[in-house]
This record gives sequence, C-alpha cells and structure tokens, in this order.
Amino acid sequence: MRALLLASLVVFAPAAVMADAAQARPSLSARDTATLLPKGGWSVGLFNPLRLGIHERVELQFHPLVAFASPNLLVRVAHLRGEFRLTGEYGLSLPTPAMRWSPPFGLGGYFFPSCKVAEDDASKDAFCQAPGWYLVPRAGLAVSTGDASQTTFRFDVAAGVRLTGNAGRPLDAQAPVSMLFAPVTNGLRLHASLRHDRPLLHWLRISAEASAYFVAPENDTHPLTFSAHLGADAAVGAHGRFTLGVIYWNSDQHAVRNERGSDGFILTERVRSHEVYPTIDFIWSS
Amino acid sequence: MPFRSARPHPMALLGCVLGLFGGCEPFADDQEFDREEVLVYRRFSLADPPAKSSEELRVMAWNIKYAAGRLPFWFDCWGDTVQLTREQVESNLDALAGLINEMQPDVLMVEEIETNSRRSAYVDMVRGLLERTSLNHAAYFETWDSRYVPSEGVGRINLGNAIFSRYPITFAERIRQEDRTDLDPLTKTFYLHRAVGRAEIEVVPGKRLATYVVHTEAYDRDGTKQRQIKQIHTLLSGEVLPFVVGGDFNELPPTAVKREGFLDERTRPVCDDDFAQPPYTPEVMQPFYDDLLPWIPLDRYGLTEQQQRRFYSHSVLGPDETNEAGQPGDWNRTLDYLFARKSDAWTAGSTDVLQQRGQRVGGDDGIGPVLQSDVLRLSDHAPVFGIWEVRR
Repeated sequence: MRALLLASLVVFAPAAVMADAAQARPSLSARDTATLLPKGGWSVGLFNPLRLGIHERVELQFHPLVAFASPNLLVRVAHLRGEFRLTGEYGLSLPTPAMRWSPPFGLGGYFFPSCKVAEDDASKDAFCQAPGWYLVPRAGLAVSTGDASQTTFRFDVAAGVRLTGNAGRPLDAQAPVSMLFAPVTNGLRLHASLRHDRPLLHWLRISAEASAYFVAPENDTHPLTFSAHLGADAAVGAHGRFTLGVIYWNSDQHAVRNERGSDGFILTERVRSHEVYPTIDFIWSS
Repeated sequence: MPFRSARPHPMALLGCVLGLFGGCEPFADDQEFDREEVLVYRRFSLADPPAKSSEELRVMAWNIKYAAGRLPFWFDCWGDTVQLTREQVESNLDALAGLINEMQPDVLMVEEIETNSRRSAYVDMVRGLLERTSLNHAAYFETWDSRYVPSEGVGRINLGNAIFSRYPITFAERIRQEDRTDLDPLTKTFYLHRAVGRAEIEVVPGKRLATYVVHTEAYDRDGTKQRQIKQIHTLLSGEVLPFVVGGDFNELPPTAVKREGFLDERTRPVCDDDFAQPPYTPEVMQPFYDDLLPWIPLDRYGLTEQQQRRFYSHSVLGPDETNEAGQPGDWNRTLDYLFARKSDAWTAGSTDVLQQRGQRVGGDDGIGPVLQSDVLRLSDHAPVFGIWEVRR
C-alpha cells in the first residue's frame, strides 16, 4: 500500500504543479469514448495509438510503434452525434510479421516457432507450426453518453482470415498477450466493455472499465476472459496527459491445483488464473 | 477433469496489487526444497495384482519423451515440432501402454512424463498410463513447472518423472538435485530442476521396498550431470531398505567403445548450440557397477561396438528419418539403466534393453516374451527391463 501511495505522489505531484500553471486550458477531456477528434486534431501516446481527425465524422487510428511489424489501421466513423454518440470502428491489421520476426520487431522464436530446420531443409516444412499469413479485420461500435463525465459501451469482433500457411494455435500465454493474438490463434475474438470516465479536478480524471472477451475455445479451455481497469489521467501542460492505472485479468490458462482428496490420493482441479499489471502512458495531443 | 472458478485468497490478491507487476501465478516454480513428500495417484478402479509370497518384481524403466513418439521436436534439431494435438498424445499413450502391457511390470519408472503441458495438449499422462495398464498406483515427481516458457512457443509446462506400481505406494518423495550453473539468469528462471523420485512400495504385507527413478541433466557444460550422478550414488549408499533404481542417466557405460560422432548428431550448425550434446564422461558410472548390481553386467555388455550395440537405448533420430549422410535413425548409445542392491539378484534370462519388434526379451535363451510392439517408433529411448529378486 505504501508503494502505491508513494508512486502516486511521485507521479501526480509534478502534474499538479504543471496543471496549476495551465489553468487557461480547457478541462481535461474523457478518453476512449465514442467522441471523435475534431478535423485536424491529433493525439499520440507511447502505447496509445496515433489518432488523426481527418473529417468531422472520420478519425484514423494506428499504432506507430508496431506498424512496421504489424501494419494496422482503424477507421472510426461517427454515425450519431449529440447526447448519445454512436461511432463505428472498422479496422484491419496484418500481424504475421510480428509473429515471425525475431525481437525487437517481433516475437518469433519466443512466443511463436522460428522453424530453423525448415528454413535449412524444405523437406522438413511439414513439421513447422508457425502460423501462416493472416489478415485480421475488425468491426465494432462504441456508444457514449454524458459530457464532463462519460460512460462508454463498446463491442467489437475481430476474426483471423488465413491467407496461406498453417492455422494459428492458442498461445495460452498471459491473458493480455493471448487476447491480442486471439483472432489469429483462436480464429475469433469478441470483446465488450463498459467504461466510466469522470473528472475529479480541473486537471485530474479517474476511470473504471470492465471488459469481457470471448474466443473460440481449444483443448477444453474456457472461452471467457475478463478484465477490470482502474486508472487516473493527469494534465501535464496544455497538451499532454499522464496516465497511470492498474488492470486485473481473470482467465482460464490451464492452471491446476493438486490436493489430497478424501481418499488420501491426488485430486486435480482446474482453476482460473489471475493477473495484475500496471498501466502507464504519456499522451500528447493538439 | 472437474473445473471450478476458484475465488482467489484475499491476501493473494492484495499481494498482486502491491507487487504492481506480473501475475498471481509465478512465472516458474523455483522448487526450493531438499526432500519433499509428493501425492500419490490411484487408478480409478484397482486391478488385482498377482499375490506374491516372495519379493520378485518385474521392473521396467522408460523415458517416454512426453508421448511424442518419433515426432521431431525443435530442440533435437531434426524438425520444428512444438506442439502435439490431443489426438496424437492419446494415440501415442495407447502405443506406449501396448508395450507396457506386453511386459506387465510390477514397477515402472518413467522419465519425461507430463501432466499439464501445452506441448502435449495438457494431457495428464500419469493418469493416462494408469488407466491404460494394470498398474494401480503412481507417484509423480515434478522437475519442471513453468507458467510460460517463452522459447519457440513452448508455453506452460509441467514435466517430471514417475514411479508406477501394481502394489500400494506407502510413501513417495522427491529429492532435489543440483541445478546447472552455466545458464544466464533469465534462462535459469524458466529451466527445469532435476530431482530424484523415491517411492516405497509394499508387496508383501509389512515389508517395504524402495524404488528410485532418475533423469540427470543432458546439456550442461559445467559438470552438473556428473555431480548429479554422484549424488544419486550417495543417496543409494545410504538407503536402508532393499532398493532398485532405474532411469535415464544421460551417460555411457564405463566401457563404452563409441563415445562421440553419433549418427544423430548434426555436422552443420542449423540450430543454436543450447541443446548440442556435450562430451560424455563414462567413468562417472563406474561406482554403480562396482557397488550395485547392474541389470546388464559389463561382461555381458561386451568390449566391441558390435557387442554393445545390442544394448543401446537411445536415438534422437527415428527409423523413418535420415541424418545428413542419408543413414536412417537407430539406437546408437546406452543411456538407460537398472541397478539393484548388490546382495539381490536379477532373474537369469530376464534382463534386457527392449529395442525392436520380434526381439526375445533376455536374449535368444531369454525367458521372453517376444516383443510385438514397434519399440523403435514409440520414443527416442528404449525401455530397460529385468526381474528383480529381493534377498532379505
């Protein structure tokens, strides 16, 4: 608990000082909502995507850090504006290079096979289990309501469309990684989330988000994964914000617990896995 | 297997939040223990073992390569296989059980058996072999428990050794062995931790026997294997019960003629050398032949390569693949052993390495049976077998 309090102090105290100096700027706005950026607007984070407002009803998003290894684009279209904002989110990515290339560009040889023998001898290709070339189309809707405090419901579907090569296999890795690659490794990923974002101070916002994921199961894995996130955004100057939070994941990762049964012999039970990670980012915007 | 959504202990959750990183399941189990009791499996419905008035046990030891058969896995560098399907594992377990049922062991030591690994479709092989054979009890000695091994997508792994018995296992423990010291810290975190498995069984009421299963290090370059083998010898020297030890020592017999240049070794650098075979040091096995009763004594093992070939028990390459020179795979070295207490005996004509279909167990004058299973295609190791006569 002390560590958490100390981290918060170290992070937010400078932000508070800078926020005081930026009293003229509009209040810090909600994030991850159905509201698009205005035309000509932009924002980018270390981990948050680059967002470009290219039309009053159209916004583009992509992740520049991974664009080389996993080209990706998301188009957000405002279908309804006003008290209820309805935005369609339509995306496409090509994740295969990220699965085949070695670090730092990809995860080949670590989370995915590198197939060294098949590279050397094509007759051994049958034993290579690296996933083939995939396109991942994604479609979803985001609905937001509220002004200073906003509540957003989001639903999206992503599917792996195999162009050539082997079918992907479930990673069964830590939940964030498994969910990221699920359209390829499991074929399909459905996602729904509910987020509430509200101001505490002129320069400080807090948010809470709950998500559920459904992926096509394999090896009797339970198809549902859940996450819950608590976060805070603090203004830094007129155009920046610092975000800090914690996310909890609950999923079936084939963990088991062995105990002594009532008969004195081993009793094995499947149990769900729990993971907790910090989330952190710095976002610049126009 | 029953599935439940376990509510995490509140203190565990708080610990995760305070830790601010990672998950509630550790990346890998460090296995910080010296000796630790293990839980025992029991067959769902017991098969009646033969009543014995004397302690004569059919004993077999076998490295089953996690039921992968002859599929070339990536670390052997003859193929890139990373993961089996459930159907492949179940089919291979059927074939393994076929040979086990031919031999009808009273005690079976198994190495490289898995209970919950991604690469073997999370099949509990200990349960799988219990239910496919007339063995009633099993003790599993975990040597590798990692949440996710980030190497070629290996993923979750739970691997170890096991002792199966037709008779009750009254106590079982695993005894920690020394870890390698030649690994970088990150690799060491996710690497396995070798352990000796020991199980006490009761064949004749009131009389206990000790059985051991071993599987020493294969790839170290810092003398870890040799120290592990010496530790095993020390353990056995202090055993007070009648005992038998079986397993994969990853070492040649002391009089082995062929010590390098095996037909399943690469001459070209296709893969990393992390899993390249380091030089053998057969002299480290001499104390076992001096102080214990080997199932194949050195005089029977022979002094020429042709004589010794008859007792080879390992080949990375299977008969359906060829090496760089076009030679098909075949058994090419002895790495697997059975030893009993020096005062005991092996039944004449019973001891052998089970190499191929059509072989008469024990030799031409052996007591048999004649093998029906295609042993060369079941694993990269051949089983070793003998009938152990306990002399009290």
